[in-house]
Amino acid sequence: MLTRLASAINDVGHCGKTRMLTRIAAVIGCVCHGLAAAGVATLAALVSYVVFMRWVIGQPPHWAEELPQLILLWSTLLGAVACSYHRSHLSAGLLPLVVRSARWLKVFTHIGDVLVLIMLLMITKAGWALAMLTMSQTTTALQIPAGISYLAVPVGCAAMALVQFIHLFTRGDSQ
Amino acid sequence: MTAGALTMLGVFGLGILIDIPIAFALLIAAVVYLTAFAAAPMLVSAQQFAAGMESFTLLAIPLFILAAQLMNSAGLTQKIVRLCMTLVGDIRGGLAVVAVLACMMFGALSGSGVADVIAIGSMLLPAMQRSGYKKGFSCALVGTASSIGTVIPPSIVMIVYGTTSNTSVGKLFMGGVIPGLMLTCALVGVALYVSRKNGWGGGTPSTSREKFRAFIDALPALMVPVLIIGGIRFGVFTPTEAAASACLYALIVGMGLYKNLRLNDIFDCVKATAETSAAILVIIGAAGLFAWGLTYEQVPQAIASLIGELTDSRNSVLLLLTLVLLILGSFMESIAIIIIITPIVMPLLSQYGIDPVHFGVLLTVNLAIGANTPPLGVDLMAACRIGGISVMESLRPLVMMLVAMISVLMLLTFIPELVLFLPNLMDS
Repeated sequence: MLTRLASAINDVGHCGKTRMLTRIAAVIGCVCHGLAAAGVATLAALVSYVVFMRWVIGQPPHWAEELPQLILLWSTLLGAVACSYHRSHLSAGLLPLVVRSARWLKVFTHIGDVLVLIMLLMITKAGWALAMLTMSQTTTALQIPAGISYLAVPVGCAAMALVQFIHLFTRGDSQ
Repeated sequence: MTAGALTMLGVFGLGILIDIPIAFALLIAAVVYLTAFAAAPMLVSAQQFAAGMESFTLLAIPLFILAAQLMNSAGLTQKIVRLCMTLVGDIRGGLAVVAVLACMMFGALSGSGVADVIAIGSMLLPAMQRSGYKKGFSCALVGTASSIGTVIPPSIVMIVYGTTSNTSVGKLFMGGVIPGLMLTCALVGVALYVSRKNGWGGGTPSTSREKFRAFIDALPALMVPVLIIGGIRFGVFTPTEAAASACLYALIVGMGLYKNLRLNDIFDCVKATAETSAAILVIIGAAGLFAWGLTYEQVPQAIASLIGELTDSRNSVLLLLTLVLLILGSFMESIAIIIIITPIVMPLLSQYGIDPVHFGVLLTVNLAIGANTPPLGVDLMAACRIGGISVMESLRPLVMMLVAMISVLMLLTFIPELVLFLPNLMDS
């Protein structure tokens, strides 16, 4: 993964605009996917540790629920960026059953991409406002700003919006 | 129904129709509703979206997916298939029975129908075709049998329902055992009947020694359901902790016992899990916001009063809900259906004295059937894709299997004890 990332970064400066945009999307997708994967591995380790502490030591850690939930939220929204890059979000697949023309399929895909982009930007703005609003409050167990949890929403949505924007000008992920 | 609710449903429907990903279609509908009707500040969109994903029980989803990925990489799937082959593979129609049993057993590891199709279908569909089974029949059988994976515990669908409706996931898991076994028996019956009628053969017979060896080889895989269900039943684990323990167990078996799980494999499994679980959990968050909008518009109350005017019979309500769920299941993704439908039907359940565990299991069976009915029968589509045929080719053999599954659903609807017997044991 690191080699792919390095090659993607390296290519940014050496290729045409479309290729550069594709590479930027690749870097974002790759980094977010790697972070989300690290989050999943951490979740598995943390919950196993909680089970061990509860049954062997008899004293579960005070963050037993709060920390895994925080990681789950961040991991999910970063993983969703990778899904946007790979175009692997679940969809109904009804359009090809209704529309046969390749040209119209492309038109509808672009309309969908634009609508998704607008929605993601609106939620990014709302998420940022919410995160800033709750930064002064602290969480019960970890005593960290509550906004750190909500910050996952604008970060994830902004990254998805950027990938979505790049999809409008490129063919999307080649994988 | 109010203009706000109709707008949300309309925008969501249009979004789905033009193939916007389900999570984004739900978010767009909710954002349009918030903007057009000024029901609440826009901050609510981000708050409800995040809140939908923040639950300790939902942690079980990535962990169960990771456990299944690790077990598949460690070769547990092949060992399950081999055990089934040695036990029943040689009888006439045996390979079809192997497909059903292997899907049921792998369902107890994965909790997801599509995961079953990919793991079992890619191994057994080519073998079935070589033995003369018709492609349409094989794909329909693997598709429907894989759906049992959503009923047999652990079930991702049940985790989502349990979280949304505040119902014990442990009880839902227990409630899924008998229905899962009934569905397996029904499909085994269909598989044997059709295979024998067409003279489709089985594999080569196995000696007792081979059977014993296959059983010993598959024993670590067979212990997984015991670990999960037993752990939850006796209060050792919560479902989330059971999932983490299953991951640990898969690592120990793969790296320590079979010695075929390398660090690279683990890394690949974790990456695949991150993407798959994100795709599911984002729908859950988005559907949480959408469901909030429907609740704000008092849609649950409107539907409850509409049904109340139509009938006052508990069984009629259950049949009506079954019909709605079967239709929805053909068009929509399971997780989105649960999050949208659950807040709507909860008032009905208490009004008509329907046990939430009973309804949760019925909902799961409904969605398992919906996962095989076109146009959006995801399990059937996945099986046909692996089998290399169009969905149309599998429709004729599919009918008998759907009839068998719907018959089981009717039994479960009218005899709640079939579902509630094991969960009630937990209370006693």
